[in-house]
Amino acid sequence: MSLRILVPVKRVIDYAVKIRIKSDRSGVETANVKMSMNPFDEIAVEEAVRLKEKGLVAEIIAVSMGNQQCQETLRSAMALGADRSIHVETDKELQPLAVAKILQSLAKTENTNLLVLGKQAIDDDCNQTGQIVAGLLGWPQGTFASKIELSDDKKSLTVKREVDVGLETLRLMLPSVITCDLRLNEPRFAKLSEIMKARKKPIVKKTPEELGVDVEPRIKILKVEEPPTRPPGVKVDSVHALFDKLVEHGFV
Amino acid sequence: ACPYKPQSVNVALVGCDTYEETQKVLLSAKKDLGEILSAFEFFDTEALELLLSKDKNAVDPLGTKCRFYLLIETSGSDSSHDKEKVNNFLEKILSAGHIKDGTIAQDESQASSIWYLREHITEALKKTGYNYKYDITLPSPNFYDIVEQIRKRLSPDLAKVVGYGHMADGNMHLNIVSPTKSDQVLSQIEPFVYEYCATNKGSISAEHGIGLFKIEALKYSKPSAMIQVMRTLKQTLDPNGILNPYKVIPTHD
Repeated sequence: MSLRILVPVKRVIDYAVKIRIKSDRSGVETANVKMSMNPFDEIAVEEAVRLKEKGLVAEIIAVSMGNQQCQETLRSAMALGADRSIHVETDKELQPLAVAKILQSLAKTENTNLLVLGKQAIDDDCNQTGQIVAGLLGWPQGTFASKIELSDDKKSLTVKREVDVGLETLRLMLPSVITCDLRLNEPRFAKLSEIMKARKKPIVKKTPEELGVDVEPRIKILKVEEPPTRPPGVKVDSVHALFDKLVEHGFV
Repeated sequence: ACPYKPQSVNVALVGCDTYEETQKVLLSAKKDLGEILSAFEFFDTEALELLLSKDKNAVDPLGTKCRFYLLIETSGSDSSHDKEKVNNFLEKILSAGHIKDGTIAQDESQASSIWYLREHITEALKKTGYNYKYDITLPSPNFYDIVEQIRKRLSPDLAKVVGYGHMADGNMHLNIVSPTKSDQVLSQIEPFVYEYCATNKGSISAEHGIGLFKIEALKYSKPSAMIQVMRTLKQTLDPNGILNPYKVIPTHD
């Protein structure tokens, strides 16, 4: 069977930007800050496109959730090679559980057999969405993928995963969920001709209500703070004094 | 007060197959990007080839070989306004057939990769052999012609010739590299390059100055009367010649 891939892409603060905390400590300042597609999601799209270039994929659908500006991220995904997009429009704060529920609903209606996600978003660093949606769908998961191969009979995937002890190789029966890690691939530069074509590819709008999903956040952020500033160093003038200080601070 | 760092920066790389096309892109950029155009850099395929062979961190974003490459950067205060301007500009030059291919950076990392190419040509040249470097200004029609003229004068097994520079300013960095220092190669370049600048109303030094090495060439860009005035001023203000000695002003005509 041909792969029908769904790739969620998230609009986040560009990873190269130095972030600031809002003065009321409610979160990170996003106004007037450069936003880009989550780097791990770029890797996910790139992997889907590479599978398509091998002739293994019927269709790649990109999905993004949030306000109108998500459309920019979807255009980027289509410029990289996604065939069409879905914009799930909402102003609510979306947490991994809500995103997973939406993906579960879309995977069913779009007849997806491979869900490819970035391993985590660089703004919340949750690393949960892929795992939760695999659980909701009852599909096997290959997380932190550094290599993906489709079997000759097209019924399973061999996934190499980066784990603490090294590399682990799994075989997953389709349909399955993959989350992508850094070394899976290097995303291409979008060609201008593709960027122009992407402007005409379709983006369908949906809402969480239409999909029957309750996206109410279950976790409340109480406060966001910068890490404590490093205290100044202390100079000592002898080895004895150094030793005493080390003992005083419990290092020896 | 310090000027504000621009909110919205876009970096694009486009490829052209003829010099005339690059000029059309430049004209269009000046007209359609206007005040947000912050960089317009040029390099030829020879420069890119050299870079890719010597620097493993360099990546060719286009994948298709083009005769000339243009790095176009915009800087502004309103990202949606700028993005629209840039997209319209790129669509226009693409559909008019002025460019063969191109890309626009999707994030900071891609923007850095594109700038990396332009900024590391000089290092790659250094790794290739002995460099003969020229920083000249020429009017548009001659901007690249000088590179081709020099290339004609040197056989490929003697030396490689590359051209890159700040095209919007007419500033060409003409670079020649031979395996080792060669007087034969040098004789094919000088004084031809300086005579070429003089005949075509260019300058023998665009941004790098005269310093120690171009004192003898100053006469190709400044008439002797002018040099005499410079000398007189210098002697008046620095009679003992202790300020920045041995630089810029020839001691004799």
